[in-house]
Amino acid sequence: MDEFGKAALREREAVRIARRQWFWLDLIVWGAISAFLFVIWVLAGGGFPWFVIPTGAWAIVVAAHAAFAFLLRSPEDILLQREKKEREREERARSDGRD
Amino acid sequence: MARVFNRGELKAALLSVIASLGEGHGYAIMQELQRRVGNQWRPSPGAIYPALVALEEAGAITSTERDGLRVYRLTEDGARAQAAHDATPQWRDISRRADAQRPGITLGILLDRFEIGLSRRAGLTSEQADSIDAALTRTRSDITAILEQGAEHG
Repeated sequence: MDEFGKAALREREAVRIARRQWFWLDLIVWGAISAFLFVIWVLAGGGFPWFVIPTGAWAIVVAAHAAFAFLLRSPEDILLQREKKEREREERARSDGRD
Repeated sequence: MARVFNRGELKAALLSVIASLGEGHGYAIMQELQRRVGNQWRPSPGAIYPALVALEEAGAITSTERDGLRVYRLTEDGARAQAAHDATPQWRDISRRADAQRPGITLGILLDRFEIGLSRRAGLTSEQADSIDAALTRTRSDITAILEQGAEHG
């Protein structure tokens, strides 16, 4: 892969890292608010665990965010990864031929 | 934010650029694309390279490695696709969309600048207040006329 391809990979990687950082921030905020609501529930004397409703609903959003940050790959990313592997295979074959 | 390239337009634009260059490496193609779209637009390898790979997989272009750089040129299929009328990129539309993405100056920014320039906040006499009020009213009318003129011209 030439320098242009490597620049493309670096750029895509930066986008992926930024996505993951946003996810961790989302998770931290969710955790803090959930803990806060839990404390309020305890201080209020327990009873019906109402705090589970907002934290549970928000957890679905956080899970979707995790899927977006870690699992989903754009067609461009898939193409780039395939191209990278192809070029690496070519380079290995060339270096094996030289040996 | 609207996209600069609609579906398929980036590939058509790349084919057109490669056809005009004859052959070129990624950076040369990107530079020529930027020149055609407009210098305010900043293309990136992250968008261009996957499109080049997709075009190569589709058989529209072929590449060879030369001095550590991958050099692209059209295949016969690519040249045929590029010559087809429906594959001609609409450069003017693309440039207009790219221009619309440029971070622009808004009326709010200009008004903020104007206010910052007025550092003297002393009390006014009634004559001063009337004169300034009249001047601001005239200016508001002028600004409204300019904005309406801009809206008419699209």
